[in-house]
Amino acid sequence: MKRDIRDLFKEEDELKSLPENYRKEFLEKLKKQSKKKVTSFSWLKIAAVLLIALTVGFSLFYNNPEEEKVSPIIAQVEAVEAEYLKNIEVEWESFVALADDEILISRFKKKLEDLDTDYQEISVKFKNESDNLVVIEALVENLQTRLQILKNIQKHIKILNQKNEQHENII
Amino acid sequence: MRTLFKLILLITVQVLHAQKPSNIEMEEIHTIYDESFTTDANTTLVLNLSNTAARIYKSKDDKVHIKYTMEFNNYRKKIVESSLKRAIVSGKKENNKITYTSKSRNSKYYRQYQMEEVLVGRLGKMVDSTNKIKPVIRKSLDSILIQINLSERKRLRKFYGTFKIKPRVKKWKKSDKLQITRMVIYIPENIHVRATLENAQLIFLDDFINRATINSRNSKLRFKTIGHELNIFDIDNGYFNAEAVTSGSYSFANTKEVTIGRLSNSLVNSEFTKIELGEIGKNNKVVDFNSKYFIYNFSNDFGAFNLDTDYTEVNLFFPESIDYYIETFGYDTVHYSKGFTGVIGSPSKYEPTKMMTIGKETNPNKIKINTTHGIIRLGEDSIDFGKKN
Repeated sequence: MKRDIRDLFKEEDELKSLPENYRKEFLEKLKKQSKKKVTSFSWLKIAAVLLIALTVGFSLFYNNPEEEKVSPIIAQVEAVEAEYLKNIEVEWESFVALADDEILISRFKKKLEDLDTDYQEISVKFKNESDNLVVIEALVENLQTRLQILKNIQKHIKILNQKNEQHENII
Repeated sequence: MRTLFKLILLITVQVLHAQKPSNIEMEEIHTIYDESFTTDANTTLVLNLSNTAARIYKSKDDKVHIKYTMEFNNYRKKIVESSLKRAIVSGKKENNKITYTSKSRNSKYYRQYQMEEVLVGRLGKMVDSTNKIKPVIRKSLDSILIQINLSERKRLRKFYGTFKIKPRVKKWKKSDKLQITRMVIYIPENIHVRATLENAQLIFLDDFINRATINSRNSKLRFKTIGHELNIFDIDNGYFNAEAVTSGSYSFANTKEVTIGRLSNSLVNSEFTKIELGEIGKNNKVVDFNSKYFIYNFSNDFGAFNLDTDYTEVNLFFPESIDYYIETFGYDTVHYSKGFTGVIGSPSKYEPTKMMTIGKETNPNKIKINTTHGIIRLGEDSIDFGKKN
């Protein structure tokens, strides 16, 4: 049962011979496969775009745009605060220059310090609740009160001084 | 600024209509709190209210009833849930003390309209207003009562005017967005009420003659008649309106608006406040530092009305139809009265003296003003505030 090994290779060579239209069929199959791959990739793309669109849409639709709301309010309050504090300082200096009653000055100083303490408390609330309009209102009312009492007392003193001068003139 | 403006407008318009009756059936009604507590003469009701608006009535039985609901129409579920989460409420009764606490992260009442003043040129407006001087005319008691009842509307009009919003006239439709918050508290009249209020708005729709100890900051309070000899009210900032105060002790500091129709048997302690009094009745005393008083009328038997004042502006209309005695005592005070204007009591002497008297001292109806560094204006039907300074 001895066999020449070269015969085996000959048989294999015969088996390896390709049909005549093999090339054409192969190319067609390849074309089909390529098309399938392209189609599935498009679906993935569409799905991804939809997912992103939905995520963005939901977040815009349902989430409160806190940052958009908060930032301008904080900026506005800071601007209002800066303006008031500047005016309060001017009025305080003007009041101290006008008043010659040390007790009155110390009483106002104490009042303004108390109001400032209140302001610091409200400021802490504002940091936590910068979208709370009542807190903002309380902040500004505090500043307004400080400015208003300083203006009122100066007006009061001016009336007293004016009439004192007249009184002295009459005497 | 535009975003901010829209935000404020949105929130405010929503809130403005929050307490208005609607002609539509609300989509969702959530009961935040609904409880009743039995009471007796020794019960104390403790109210801790922050960022809360409530209406208060006299209880028809001997129980305290508290009901708090939030109603929504056409709001997304998430917004509704968020609003509900922001309402923090608790109530309990221990040792005959009922404690009810209500807080809300965002306030839900109409006073938010004042934001326009906060952020749209409030400073400018305020400075301008200090220069406007015009004669003040006597207000009748009725006109003061109307003023008290219209105080909220007046503020609403101011809000509408500033934002140039036309008040809604068309009926609400089912498709409209609407949120209504209602808190109603019924209190029996014989129990002691202790309230701590911050940024709250309370409207008492019945007479409130309970003993009350009230500590209030930045709140708006409106009463019909209040009075108990043991009343202690401490009002810091905010607004206070009462048709009648019949007894008790009331302190006001930096209060923006204090308007009282009739005042009797009361001690008023005030500073840095503007106070309008419609009619002075029996046994009142005022102690003040640097406030502005407007006193329009006196009852026919007011007896003694005493004021101890320092750096105070007193604008007082003479009592009508009755004889009276007025005395000012102190120093360094400008008087404007019946053709006389000038300082009486030189500041250089700082010795209190009797400065001015009108009428006979034997008269039972006496107005005595102890005053230092004051401005006193007295008038028949109008008070001239003089030239612009």
